[in-house]
Amino acid sequence: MKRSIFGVKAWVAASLEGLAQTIREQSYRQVPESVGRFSIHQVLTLGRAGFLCAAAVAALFRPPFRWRLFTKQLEFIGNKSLVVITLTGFAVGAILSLQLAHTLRNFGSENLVGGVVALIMARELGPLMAALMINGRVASAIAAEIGTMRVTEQIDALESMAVDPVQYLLSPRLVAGTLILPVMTMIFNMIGMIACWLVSIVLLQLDEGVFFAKIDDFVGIAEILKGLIKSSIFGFILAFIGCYKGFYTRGGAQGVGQATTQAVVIGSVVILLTDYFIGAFLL
Amino acid sequence: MIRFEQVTKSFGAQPILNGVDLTFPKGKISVVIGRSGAGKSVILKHVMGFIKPDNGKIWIGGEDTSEWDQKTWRHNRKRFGMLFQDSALFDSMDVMENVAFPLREHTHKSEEEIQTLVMEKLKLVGLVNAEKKATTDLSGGMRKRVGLARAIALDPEVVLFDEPSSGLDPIVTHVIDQLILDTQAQTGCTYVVISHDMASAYRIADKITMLYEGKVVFDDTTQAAQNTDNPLVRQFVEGQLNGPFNIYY
Ligand SMILES: Nc1ncnc2c1ncn2[C@@H]1O[C@H](COP(=O)(O)OP(=O)(O)OP(=O)(O)O)[C@@H](O)[C@H]1O
Ligand SMILES: [Mg+2]
Repeated sequence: MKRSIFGVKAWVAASLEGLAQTIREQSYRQVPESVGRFSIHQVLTLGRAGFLCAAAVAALFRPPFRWRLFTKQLEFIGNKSLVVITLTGFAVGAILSLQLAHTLRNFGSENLVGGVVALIMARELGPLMAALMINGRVASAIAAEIGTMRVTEQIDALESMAVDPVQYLLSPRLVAGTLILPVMTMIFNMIGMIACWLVSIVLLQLDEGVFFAKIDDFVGIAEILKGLIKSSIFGFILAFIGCYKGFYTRGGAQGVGQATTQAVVIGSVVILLTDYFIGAFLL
Repeated sequence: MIRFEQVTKSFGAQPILNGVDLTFPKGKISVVIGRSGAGKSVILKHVMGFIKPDNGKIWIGGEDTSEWDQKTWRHNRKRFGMLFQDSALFDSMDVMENVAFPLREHTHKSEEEIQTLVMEKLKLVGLVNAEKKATTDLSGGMRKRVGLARAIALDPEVVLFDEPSSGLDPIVTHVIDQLILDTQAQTGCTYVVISHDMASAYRIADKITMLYEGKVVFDDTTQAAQNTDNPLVRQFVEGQLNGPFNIYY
């Protein structure tokens, strides 16, 4: 007991001494400076990202139109994500239905399960989960591919052959991401609802007629559309962040590794934030 | 003609080019020599516009490139070909597609014509039966030659070679030297070649430029280079340890 009080005292003394030294050396003056430098850096990064984004979008509207690259990216982002989307869609649908059914049973309204699950999936979980799962697979892959091209001078080689690397590499990925995510979300939701049906009707033996009637009641075409619009925004975001991180990669293999991880982390955070703001203010 | 006028360039605090004056005359083969890290590749990247000088001017065909915007650069690069030091092949494409890439981008040739042209270029660089290989399955020397074939695919007016023969065996080096000489003689193009190999430099060069500590220390005809008593050039050519070269910088 005594020793621990003594420990605290020593700690307080040391902290005070540290504080005094900071004041003596006036090193606190560096705090605003480093905060300032940090903010400037962030603003510059945002500006650079904004320019790149604008350039990639603008490049869509002038020839050449690169259909082959676009379809290749559709294939890569969409087709190759089918397994992961199917698995997670099924899991989310089943888990959600089971939990909801148990909770709703306490209020005697377990017949609402289908409607509630459909609503949550269409509006929120479908777009969000599909985007997060695809982000993990695709943003990292895009960042790795473009980043490797950057550090091995393949992007310079494109430039040397008078090909705009932004148009060649970024634009097709952005369009593909934007267009394919709603499709993946629909698949996710469909599989989720199949799981929901299995749990509710086959497992819990609820009434099938009411199940479908409630889905009809709860989910209108507007809800579905809102979810799909949101998912295409997510698709743009995750493709762009992968592209951005890859395009400005520096420092060899290690740099590519960092770009890859950062793309996934930043992608997830931005998707979650966007989801919140869209939910709160727009849709 | 390509002309550097008092070009300086630093990366961070490290000065690389420190007032470089040189010309690469039209229709000639200019060879740039200099120790590793002297800034030879940086010079080529300035010519391509990937790097902009801190100070000084670069003139291409009588035009001041500091006034070129992105679009003008791109337009002019169609007349340029470049072989990168590490080849920079597109690893998502096979050998054939790599060489065909500039043709597909900038010509309206039919697929058959492109195939014929590609095979022609691959044969020129001594690569046959490799057209379907993935670029990642090639040896360093083979990659170099694919890069070379790609650089000359469009028969550009200006070709920049960043060490075309490093990593090649002596016979292929000779083949490449001969290729450079022959195609240049045929087309009358402007070639700039970076090289470490003095025997090969003497074989192909009309003009030799030597870079040392950010400046041009020698810039004259091949014959003058062979006979010069400039101690830096002599030491470099003979590869001696003792001499004016500052080895540890
Ligand atoms: N983008 C860059 N950023 C920072 N430093 C660079 C960059 N490019 C080149 N350098 C530096 O410039 C110097 C010259 O590089 P450069 O590649 O031109 O050498 P080099 O003469 O081609 O050498 P080598 O014969 O080994 O290829 C090196 O010290 C290198 O570290
Ligand atoms: Mg070099």
